[in-house]
Amino acid sequence: MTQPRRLSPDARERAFRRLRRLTISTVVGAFAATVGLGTLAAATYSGTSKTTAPTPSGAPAAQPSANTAPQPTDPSAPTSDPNSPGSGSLQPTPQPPASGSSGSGHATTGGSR
Amino acid sequence: MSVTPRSWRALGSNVQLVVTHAEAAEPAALAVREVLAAVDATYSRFRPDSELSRLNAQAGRRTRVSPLLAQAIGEALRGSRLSGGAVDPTVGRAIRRIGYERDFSLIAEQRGPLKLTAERIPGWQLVELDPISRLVSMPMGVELDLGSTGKALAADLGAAEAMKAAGRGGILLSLGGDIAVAGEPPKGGWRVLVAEDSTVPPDGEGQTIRITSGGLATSSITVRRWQRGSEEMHHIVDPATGLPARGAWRTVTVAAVTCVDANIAATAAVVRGEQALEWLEAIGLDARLIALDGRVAYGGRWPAESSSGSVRPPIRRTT
Repeated sequence: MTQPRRLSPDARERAFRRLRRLTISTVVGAFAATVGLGTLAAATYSGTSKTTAPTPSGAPAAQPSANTAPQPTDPSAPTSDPNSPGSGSLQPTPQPPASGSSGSGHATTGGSR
Repeated sequence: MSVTPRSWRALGSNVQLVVTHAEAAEPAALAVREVLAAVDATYSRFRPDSELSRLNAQAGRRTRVSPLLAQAIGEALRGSRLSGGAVDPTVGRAIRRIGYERDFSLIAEQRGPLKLTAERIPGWQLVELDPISRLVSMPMGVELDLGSTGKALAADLGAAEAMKAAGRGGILLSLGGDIAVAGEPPKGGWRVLVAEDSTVPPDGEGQTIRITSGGLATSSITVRRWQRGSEEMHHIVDPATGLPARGAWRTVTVAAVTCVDANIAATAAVVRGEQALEWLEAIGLDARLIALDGRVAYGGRWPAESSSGSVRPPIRRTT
């Protein structure tokens, strides 16, 4: 039966240092890979966070005449969607529309003919 | 700063281009024409040779599409998601069932009755688009119609390209009343008449507002109407029934950061009916709504008209 080789204190110290370097390298490498893959995934899937549309609760007090149309399903579900290339919400303009001044308009918005 | 208008017909609608610098009119118009030609060839529902028609014919198979069609489908799916399904591109078959299967100028001639039953449409969730590979798949029988977002997207793209071609000043582009502006507005902003019919002249009857950026869109059931037997039809389909929407509002105009966003919200509001005003308020969009009986309501920061008889919403974020 062979005896295990006895290391000198110096050799053992070198082995410990090598083991520590290896452990640190592994931790740093794993962290970098996590960040890199996360960034890549975020860039690949352009869906954004939650839909901001509300769940309506109760009808406004002053409403026009009867409406019996079935309502669409409420936007409660999807939070992130790889099908969505644009913004994650319908965005208002920074400047609200203002009352028009006198003079002819430049264009007309209305239903399309 | 002068303002130079040009108008012509494209995509079955009136096109109006306004530039603030006269020398920019020609290059801007050329850029818009190129965009509209590309849009027509790519996602017209009425052209059998369009890329969209070919895609619909290949439903059931995974198909790679052009960048423009991928963008248009992506916007349509985004609109569905953000409107809770009130606008949905899978209405293609339903819209053909109600008789809107060719250019609108031709369908008014067909007057025979239609046998219609309520039928939920397939649903946008069945359409898969990979934005990287641009592969689209949808089950057999699903037909896409990009009517709720396609023309507005064309307005956004056309205004952006026109601005690039113009190089300076500002641009207003209207496609059948779907309006996108870009660049520097004229002094005091772009003056836009808000009407129910986009063919009303800008100095006609209606409310005049001023905008400086973004887009404006109006959805209305008062135009593009036709008769089939005793039934009055219009082009805004409720995805829940596959039939023309029968809501509380006949016309909705919305201002948003893009014309696409404005059009998604305006069409969704018509479909949502009574809940529309509350929904628009909650998502912070500025809007003007006309009820079936002609009364007017305002959402968000939309300026009120001085005339009486308007319905005031119960919630206003600002005045």
